[in-house]
Amino acid sequence: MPDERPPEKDLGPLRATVNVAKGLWVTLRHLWRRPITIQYPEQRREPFPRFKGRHVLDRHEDGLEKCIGCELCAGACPADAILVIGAENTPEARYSPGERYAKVYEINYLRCIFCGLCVEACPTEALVMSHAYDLASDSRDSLIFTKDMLIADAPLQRRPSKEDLAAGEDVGDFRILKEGLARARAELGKPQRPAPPGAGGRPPAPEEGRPAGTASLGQSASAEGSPKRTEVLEGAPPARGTQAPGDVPPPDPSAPRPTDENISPR
Amino acid sequence: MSMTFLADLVVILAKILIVFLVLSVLVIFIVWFERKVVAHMQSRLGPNRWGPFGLLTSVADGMKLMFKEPITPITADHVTFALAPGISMLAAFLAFASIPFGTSVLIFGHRATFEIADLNVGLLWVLAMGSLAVYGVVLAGWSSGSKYPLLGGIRSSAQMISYEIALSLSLIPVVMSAGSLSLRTIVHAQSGVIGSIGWLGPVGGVGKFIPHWYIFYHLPAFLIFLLAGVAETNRPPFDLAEADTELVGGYHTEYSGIKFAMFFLAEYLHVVTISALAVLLFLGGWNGVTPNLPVLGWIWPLLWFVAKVFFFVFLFVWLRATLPRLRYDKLMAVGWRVLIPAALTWLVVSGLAMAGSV
Ligand code: SF4
Ligand code: SF4
Repeated sequence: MPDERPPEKDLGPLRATVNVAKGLWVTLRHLWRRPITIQYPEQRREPFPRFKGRHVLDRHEDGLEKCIGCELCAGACPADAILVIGAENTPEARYSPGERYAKVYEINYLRCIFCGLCVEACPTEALVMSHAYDLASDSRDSLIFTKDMLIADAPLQRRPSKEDLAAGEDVGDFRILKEGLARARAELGKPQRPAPPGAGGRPPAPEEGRPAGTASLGQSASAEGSPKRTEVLEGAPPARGTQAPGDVPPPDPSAPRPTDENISPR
Repeated sequence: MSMTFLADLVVILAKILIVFLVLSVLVIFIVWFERKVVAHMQSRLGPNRWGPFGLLTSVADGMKLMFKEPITPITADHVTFALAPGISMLAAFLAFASIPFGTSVLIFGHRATFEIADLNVGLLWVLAMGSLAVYGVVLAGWSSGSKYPLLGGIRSSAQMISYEIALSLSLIPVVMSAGSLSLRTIVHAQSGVIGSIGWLGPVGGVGKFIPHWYIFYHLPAFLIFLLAGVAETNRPPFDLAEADTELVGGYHTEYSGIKFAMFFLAEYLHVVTISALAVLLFLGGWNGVTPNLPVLGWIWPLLWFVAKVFFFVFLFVWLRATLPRLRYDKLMAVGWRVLIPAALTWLVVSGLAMAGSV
């Protein structure tokens, strides 16, 4: 077969040497530059405002769950990551304002592609996405998040309405949502199965369980967010008089909580 | 058997042990150094988890390799497959037997020189051991019984043999100037300063401040040596034998665990050897540009030597971080059409110059 390559352009020894010298100069200059590495997990980059991280199931102001177990999110999910099994609310055990609530709500983060279609589909805005992104785990089981891991202990602040946005200010993007989520993060702690009742009510201990050097983001949020949590939790469900067994008791504040470090207020 | 013979034996054994240990530690350090420098040249941080500045990373890597499962492909020629890394490493270590790295020191009334053996053909020995290293690579490539290693081994043998010619040719002018093949003698020939340079006329006096190093006489030979040296060590941009992007890993594709570590060790030892040769032959060895401080005695020359060697090690790393790999035919073209004729030309030119000055 004949050689069909175009004839080679030869640079000539002088040009080639100059080119090599230029290249060497570039690398030498970079030797003294500051590296751009972010040393995760000690250092974290704050996600962009609309970053789609792990989901949170929201509550109403009175502490009832927003999710009505309609399964629309599960239907919308292209990755088939959501499992919802609804059940009827009863006067004795009322979870949500509507007729039904989600008895089982699971998101499989091995499947989820973080597209956010479930959030779009939700008619009650029960489902929102947080900034928590470090979802790595060494077991498959632990990546199937159950309802008690997903649900917020207290109402999240909502995303700004159109009017809010029109009013201008700094509410652009999800600032309000972010602050709400920061609070939620402080309140949620690490996603975990509910602690036995009575474990709550202790003063928050933000330093505990956090590796040294991690404190940069979100610490202040947890410090100011926690008292509000107890307030809401103590206030809301008993007002309805139905402290159902499925209600989420406050998480143990001493539990390690490295997962949600990254939801942080501006 | 006389007492002096026994004492000599002990001293030699001690030297071998010390050189072996120092080289092993040095290689570990150089691997770290390379990773760190390349990382920073790419705006990264490099290893920083183990020990201060990540210094222990290579130690951890070495331990990991030691405990890894050694895998031998079924198609491999088992004996050769097992021997090849040994040959590589042995040749790399043996090259150091005749490399001097300092003056001498008086221990218990016994004058010990800083080298294992001062051969009168020391340079030849180093080059010979360098060529022996090709066997490790070729046999590894052939015995793996797999195509990538085979290609890598063949490439490497072609490359190393052709560049060795240029390498050796570039050294002959130095040997002619020094009149010896003994590395120690060559270094001694480079002590002092050039002295006033006649043809520079009134500014010829600067020669009194320029050390009498052969790089100032044989600069073209030095550049040829450097290029051929990088090719000889199979380092980027001449790492055709490994060529990760084309040949997976070249000759050591099928190697794992401690055997792979031996190839790794050999490669970095070659870097040190070539750097040491460049220093000894062209940069005056352990002769510093400042007068020796008598207090420091033998430490001062040793420091100079180490500093110069490290300059070259840095150069190797720098080249690796900068230049992409050459295409194979280009590599051979550079070797045969540029370096060898250039080395021959310089050989003739310096020969004529020497004949003229006699
Ligand atoms: S983000 Fe997308 S993939 Fe993930 S659960 Fe929601 S709809 Fe499914
Ligand atoms: S999260 Fe929203 S869409 Fe999904 S079941 Fe609950 S209410 Fe329906």
